[in-house]
Amino acid sequence: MPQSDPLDTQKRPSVRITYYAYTALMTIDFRPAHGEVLFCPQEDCLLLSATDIGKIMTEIQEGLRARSPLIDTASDEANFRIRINSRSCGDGHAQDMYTVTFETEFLVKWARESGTGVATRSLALTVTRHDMDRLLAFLQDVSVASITPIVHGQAPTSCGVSISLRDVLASQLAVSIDINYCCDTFSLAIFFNTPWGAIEVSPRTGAHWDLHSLYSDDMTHAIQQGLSERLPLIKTGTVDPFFYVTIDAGKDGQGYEDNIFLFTLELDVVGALDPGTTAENIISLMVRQDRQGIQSFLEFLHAIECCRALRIKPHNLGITACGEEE
Amino acid sequence: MRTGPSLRLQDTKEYYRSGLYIELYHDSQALFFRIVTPLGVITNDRQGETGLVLAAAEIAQLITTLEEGLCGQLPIIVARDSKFRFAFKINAGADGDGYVGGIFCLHFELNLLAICTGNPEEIAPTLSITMFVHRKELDEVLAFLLFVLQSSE
Repeated sequence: MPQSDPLDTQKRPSVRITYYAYTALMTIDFRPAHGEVLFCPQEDCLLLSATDIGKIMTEIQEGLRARSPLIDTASDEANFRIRINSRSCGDGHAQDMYTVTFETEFLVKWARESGTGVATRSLALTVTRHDMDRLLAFLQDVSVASITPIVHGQAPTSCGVSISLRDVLASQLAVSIDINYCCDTFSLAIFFNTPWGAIEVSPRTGAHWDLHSLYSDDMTHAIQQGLSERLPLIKTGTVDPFFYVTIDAGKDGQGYEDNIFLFTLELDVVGALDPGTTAENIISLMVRQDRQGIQSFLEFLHAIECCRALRIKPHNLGITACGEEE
Repeated sequence: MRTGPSLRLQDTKEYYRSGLYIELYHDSQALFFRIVTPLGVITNDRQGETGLVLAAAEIAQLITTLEEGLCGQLPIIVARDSKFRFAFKINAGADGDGYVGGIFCLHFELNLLAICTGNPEEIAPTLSITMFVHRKELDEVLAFLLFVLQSSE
């Protein structure tokens, strides 16, 4: 994904676009030649859905493919428009140049009157085909980030990634640990399923964890390292929320008979309902897993991290006009 | 209608807020459990469930193990039935008289495979509840088991 570029705002006009997939908010800085930022991202945000961004991206792609001399695309949901003028037969200039005009409306406060009004701001940049491709790649990235990712090999759910760890040696027992991570709400739902009922630790039952301290990357690393070093016991997790995984890999670290690993998940049910309380009332369920099951859990942790990274980290694009001005 | 002895175990600190407790009762020569949490209930106290049938000798063995462990101030006490269906595991601190404030860590474990199939495999899917209790609650466990023993004989 293209990351933020150093903008040469002192000499050439530029535009910086930032998109927060989690909130679907976009901010745009218009930076004309003298470096004055005309659009304040903290105060003026545009709400654009993945569908809207996808539509803009498609219209640009099709316009470029059809060599349209003018591509004019706008958001259906926010005051945001992009016009691309190739000014020739669709191939751009001889040096493959385009004029891209970004346009938006924003609220302005009138200095002498206490009211507000809407003003239109636009900035035209002459850019190369490479910058056009970067713009398309940026739109592609943010539209993907806005849509819930479904990870290969895991059951798709309405809003995230999920895993079901069923005891591999007694599948008829209906004993399993089911976990679902919702990318839309950053919430975790865990089900301890037994033949005599289930315990559901999820927002639906009142659990509301702060999952920002659930470092799935660290857990992945700890489990992978433990497996590679053939540790008899691998323990990893977080204290608040109390989410603790223990993998008993047998004396030689390669599992018990039939390559079986004992996978235990411990949860603090009181802490889940009342964050900040000490981890004392713990419910744990142990299921027997083969190596594939452990691998699936690692993939699940990785999917959580990808999901969070896509949603939390802002996507940035900086485009600076090239030296050849109109 | 329950007629036999019953026991309710709650965490000494948290139960007012959490509503988490374990309830055991003995009826028709069988042990029934209810693990009640605000996030769900796991119980064999439902229509059609037969409960865990315990022989008197088995109950006596449980009592002996708990008594010896508590009186002998063992740091770790494990009392389980002979068919590995359930176990009381107690962490009593290094001196065997509890952690700071006389608190003992009590684990109640259910071996789901052994209960469902009667297969006494020690390594099997297990549900475990951990709570912190005082010596008084452990004495109540003993009293409950004694009562069960008397009603079984």
